[in-house]
Formats: sequence, structure tokens, C-alpha cells
Amino acid sequence: MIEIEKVVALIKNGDETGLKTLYSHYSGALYGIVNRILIRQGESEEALQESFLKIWNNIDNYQPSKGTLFTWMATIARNTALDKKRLKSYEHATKTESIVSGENDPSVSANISSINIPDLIKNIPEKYRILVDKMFLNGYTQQEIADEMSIPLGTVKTRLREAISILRNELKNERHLLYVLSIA
Amino acid sequence: MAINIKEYIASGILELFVLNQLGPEEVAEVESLSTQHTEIAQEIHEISLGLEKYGRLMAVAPAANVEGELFNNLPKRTPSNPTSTITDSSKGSPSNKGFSPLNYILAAISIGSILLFLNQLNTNNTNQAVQSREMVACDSILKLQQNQYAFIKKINDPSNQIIKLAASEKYAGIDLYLHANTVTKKNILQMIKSPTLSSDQAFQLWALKEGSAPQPMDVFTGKDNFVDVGYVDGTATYAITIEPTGGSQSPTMANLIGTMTVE
Repeated sequence: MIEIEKVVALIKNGDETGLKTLYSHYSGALYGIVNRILIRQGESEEALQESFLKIWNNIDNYQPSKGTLFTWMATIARNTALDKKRLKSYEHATKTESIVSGENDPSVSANISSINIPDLIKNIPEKYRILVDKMFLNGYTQQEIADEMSIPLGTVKTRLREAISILRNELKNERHLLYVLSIA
Repeated sequence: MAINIKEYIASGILELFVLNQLGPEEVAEVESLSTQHTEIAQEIHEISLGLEKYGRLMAVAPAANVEGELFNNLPKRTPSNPTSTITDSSKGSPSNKGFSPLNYILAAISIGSILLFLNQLNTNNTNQAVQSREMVACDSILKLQQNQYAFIKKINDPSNQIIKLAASEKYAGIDLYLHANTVTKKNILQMIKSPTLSSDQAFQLWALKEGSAPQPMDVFTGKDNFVDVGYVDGTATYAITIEPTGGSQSPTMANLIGTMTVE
């Protein structure tokens, strides 16, 4: 058994074991985020690797008072994927060729809409789940959500609060990884 | 700073803090309050845990080769005590009996080269760490610049209608403007001279429609001169009041600052 603080200390000391522990426990969750933003498998994998590289190099910037290590890592992964997406959009805009839809491209990984919703969160009303998905997993800003869902900015804030409260309640019996992390 | 902690938590600001969606001023405010109030720090932790559990439920396994590629190319972090190896290795060197001055020179050059190499390695690692930190900083700056550009574009939109606040008697002299745009359906509030709030108060915007109860909208503290506020279709008049931190469901008419009527 090991606490997250010890994993952080290992990375700070330059011990790869710490990063390997994080990778084995969190790569799926972080890949879930970058893959939602970038869709294509190759780009998503690059973004995941870059994210872990940033975690490795910037672990000194992690402050537990601002949230859990995971939410810090999730922000890094989200920003890395969004930067890649912006760069890709720019490259596409400078070319005259049409943008090819990824729907029939074999390099496109799992279609997000086809991802099964875990049973544990099926009870969360869709209007709330979509809001958390867009902001937490897809990296939307409040304004982007307000525009897309045609709701006032103030409503985004209050609805997000309600959404995360429901989420917390639905997942309250889920154990937190902190207590089950172990280094082989 | 005396605040109503329950209302502050209920306002939703902490969720936005954890999701990295607040501006620098609000981030500083939350950080400061979380060090003063354990309830706020605990709530931040609980929100983070909830999102962490959710993120893990929505996980997608990456291909197996990704991990190998990552760790094969992982740069070394700065060694904690690189010079100790050199000291130790010198202990194991052969006896220096019969060492000529040339041997000493060669040994000195070798040690010098090793030190130079280690120094270079250290510098490279430091540079990599700095570069990576700068990449993270650039991400944030880029986001900030994009937000600023989007804002300038919005405020200069020729289809904006600039409406001066009709201040109530109690708040005569207050100077606020609503930049309303019925085309893009965006509203921006410009606060040139606003009332001073106590630590447990906030401004709240209301949408007024004939035959309907006032609709609660944005809650804000007015620290910024420009505030992006909501837009409600068909609103004839927007009103602004002072409410307890976190906002209210119905306006406190005694604290009505004024109204702004859309033409």
C-alpha cells in the first residue's frame, strides 16, 4: 500500500517507478480525456505521452491544496490535447484540400457515442452528465457550453454544481485509488 | 474576510476552480479562502475526488506499446548527488606509485571531462525541465490571449446596443452599461462606477419579462470592469440587485441598483 504523496516523492527524486505507478493506474482515465478531444488514435497516443512527460518534468508544480493529483494531471492532458487540436485545425485551414471526416478512417479510435455508459452513472440525468462530460472530459469553457446548449452563463455554473453533486452522490461508494495504489 | 461559507460553496465557484475555469483573481480568492476555511478546502477535495472517480469510470485503455515508447524516451531527472560517484571511484583507483606527471595531467583531464559531462547532462536536464514548464505556461498564455481576442471582438461588435443603467434613487450616481447584442445573443456588463459590496454580498442580474417572475441570472462580485453575463431571449429589461454571496432565487427589491431596458 502506498499513498499518493509517496508516488509524488518518487517522481520528484527522479525515480521512474513513481511515474510507472501513475501510468498503470491513470493512463486509461487520461487517455479517455485526450481521445475524446482528438479522436484519432495516433494523435491521442502522442498527447498521452506528452502529458506524462509534462507530469514527469513539472511534478514540483503540483499543489495538493488545488485538488487531487488526478485533477491536476487531467488539466495537463486536456490542455495538451486541446493544443494539438488547435494546431491541427490551423494546419487544415492553411491547406486547400478538404478536411476528411474521420468516420471511415481506420486510424480513428472508438467512436465516443458508442462508448458504453457505465452502470454506475446511468442514474445521472443526461442534461447533467453531458455538462460534466463537456467541461471535464472535452475541455469546453463555460461560454462554449452556454452557446452550444443555449443556456445562460449563470445557469451553466449552477447546473454544473448540481451535476457534480449528483455525481458525487452516485459514486460515493466507489473507493478512491489513493488507498489501493501499490507498487509492484 | 467574513463570508457565508455555505452560500459560497453553493455558488458553484469551487467546481469551476477544480475544473480550471476561473480567472486569476477568482483563483487567488478561492486559494486564500481555502487556507482560511477547512470546509472550503474539504469541499475542493471532495469535488476533485468525485471527478477523479468519474474520470476513471470513463477510462479508455491506450494501446500496449504507448507505455514502452514513453519510458524508453523518458529523460532523466537531475541526479540527486552526481559528484559522490566520482569521489567513490577515486578510492578504488590503483596505487599512485610510479605515477608520472603525465599520468597526473591525464587523470586531471579525465576527471575534468567527466565533471564537464555531468555538468552538461545536468544543464540539459534542467533545460528540458524549463522547456516543459514553459510549454505549460505557453498553453495558459495562449488560452488567455484567445479569450482576450474573443472578448475584444465581442465588445467591438457593431451590432451591440449600449444601454445605460437607469439607477434607482438609492443608487443614483452608479454608472453601469449593458452591451446587449440580440444578433449574437451575448450580453456584457460594463461597470464604470459600482456600489461597494460587503464581504458577504454579490451583484446579481435578473431578466424581466412581462407576466413572468424575475429570472435569476449571473452572480458576480464586480472585480472586473467587464463581466460576461447571460442572455435571455425576449427579455425586455434587465435588472441588477445586491444579494447575499451565491445569489438569490428572487430579487431583494430594497437593493435594486437599477434597470436596463433593451430596445
